[in-house]
Amino acid sequence: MAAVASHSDFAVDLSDVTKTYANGVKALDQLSVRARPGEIFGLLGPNGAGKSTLVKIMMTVIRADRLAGTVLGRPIGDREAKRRIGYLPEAHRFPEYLRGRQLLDYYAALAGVSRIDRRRRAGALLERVGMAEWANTRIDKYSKGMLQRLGIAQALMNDPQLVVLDEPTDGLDPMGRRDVRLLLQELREEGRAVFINSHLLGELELVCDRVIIIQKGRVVREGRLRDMMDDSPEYEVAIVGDASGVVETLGRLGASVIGNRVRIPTIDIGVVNKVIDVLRNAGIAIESLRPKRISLEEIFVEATGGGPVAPMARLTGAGADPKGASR
Amino acid sequence: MIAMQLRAIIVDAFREAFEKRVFWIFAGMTVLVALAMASVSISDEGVSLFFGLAPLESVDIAPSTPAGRAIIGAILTELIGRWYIGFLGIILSIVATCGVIPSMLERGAVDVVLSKPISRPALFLGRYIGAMAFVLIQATFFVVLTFLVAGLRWHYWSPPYLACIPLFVILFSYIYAFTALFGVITRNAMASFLLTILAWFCVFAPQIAYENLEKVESIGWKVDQRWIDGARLLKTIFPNTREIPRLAGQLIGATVESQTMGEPQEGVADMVFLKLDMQKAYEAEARISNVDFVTSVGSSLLFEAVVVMIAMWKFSRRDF
Repeated sequence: MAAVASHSDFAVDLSDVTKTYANGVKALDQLSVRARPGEIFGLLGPNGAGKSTLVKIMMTVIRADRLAGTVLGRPIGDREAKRRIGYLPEAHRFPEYLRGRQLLDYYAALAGVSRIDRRRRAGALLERVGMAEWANTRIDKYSKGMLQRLGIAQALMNDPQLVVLDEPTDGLDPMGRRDVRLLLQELREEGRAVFINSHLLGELELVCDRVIIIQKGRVVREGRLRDMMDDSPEYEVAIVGDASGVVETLGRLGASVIGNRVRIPTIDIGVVNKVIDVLRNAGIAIESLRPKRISLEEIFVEATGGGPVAPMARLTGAGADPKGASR
Repeated sequence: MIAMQLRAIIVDAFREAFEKRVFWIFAGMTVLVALAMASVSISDEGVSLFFGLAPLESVDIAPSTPAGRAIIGAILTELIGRWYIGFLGIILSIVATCGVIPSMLERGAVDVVLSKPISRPALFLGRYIGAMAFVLIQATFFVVLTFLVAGLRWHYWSPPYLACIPLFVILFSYIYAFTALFGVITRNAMASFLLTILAWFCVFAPQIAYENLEKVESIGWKVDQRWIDGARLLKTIFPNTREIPRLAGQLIGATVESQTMGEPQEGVADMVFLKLDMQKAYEAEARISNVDFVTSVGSSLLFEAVVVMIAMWKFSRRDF
């Protein structure tokens, strides 16, 4: 693959991205985002946070009120840059009268891929996403998972340097999800930048190098996923017995009891041993002790301030999904 | 690269239009019309129906005589000019193509095409031209088939008749500009179809009004000049949808030859009951019918271009 001809080291290097819809909903507010070549970048946020708006702005489906920066080293909308971007939208809708191979050929022609390359890549990609035997079947006969596989192939037809995938595992079975993960890792190894917008935090946790969490159009957390997960290391002790009598003592050591688990939010081994001593002195058996990394879900919940009630409240709040607001 | 992209868009618009049942309904109707015409035999020996099963001895239409040719021309003018070009063919073509723009703009579909390295105006024009090319095929099928039947079964060979193909496409393009505009605004095929019919009526009404006001005034009735001027102004600004079928009639040869027969032209016969000054009515009809192709089509195409530009502008500026 050719090197990124860029004035920037980033595949995506945007700042001050601001968008207010016609109905007054501010979807993005001076947001900045950077994704490097050769990394998988996750875009997270609750419903209505502005994730889809950001992706659509990058793909020129929506126009930003204000933005600065580049995609693949060129201004947003630049045709040379667009030739090197592959995109799979969420809830895509492909023409049902086409067959799998025709669909790939059509979108690749729009992307400026030559006829010879279209023919060659269509075969290879259909094979790669496990759709080769359905290549000549009309897509109205496809299942949702098959459409998703075809959509991913479509996004790769122009040999893109930046791949933007909106909910890429939507509709896929566990095997399909695993295939997509492997494909994403291959794309990363090939030096491409992969930009994923997804709600499936578990999936993202397995593949992302960096993530950005946005809420109400603003960045609330960003960085390398590994750093984030190691950011608040802690130990977790699984116990057998009633620890209610030592809750206060454990609390003084910074530990808390949640059911039959004791959480020790520190890696100070001295503190951990003191907690164990307290438990053992109280006649509580210790089943296991393990260092616990914080999960992406916990990072997400903490960053967005989401408790058990907040997610429902957000559905009706100012950050509600602004779909249709542009009309 | 743009040629390859445009080709892909046009081919896709074709595929989509061919997918619609209405294309096959249209093709079936064309074959039925051709069969119905072919079942009528007209020659110097006589006229018969149902492939010769029912001779019409009382009817004498000899294609080799000017009068016979005029009658055949009048039949074709009525069938092709008034009904096919002027109404039914256009309606069916709009039904077949009204989804071409909205389907591209559906949520989930528009995202992919807009992410490609092609400008929005080029995308829009590609779909517009694709719909037009599809209708060109429909029109060619109908006109060529009926041309052959008229020649082989009625001995009426009139090569200018083939000019009905571009005339039909031109008239369709006037109307389709509205379909495209409403398609961009509503993103809904049915809504754009219904709004197109409404728009067609709105451009049709001033033409009818002007023609009838002129006729009424010519036979001595008092008409406020402001009404005539207003109707003329609207008729001049809007696409002249009435004049294409008239032009088609002239090309088929009916108008000239019916004058040979001394029969009143379209519209005038309806006024006979008024028993007024028919000579003036003929003059008014002739004045109205005297179509200047360049002016008529030119001003209509200008209007079409304005509507298409508005649609393109709307498409280019819009968030999806």
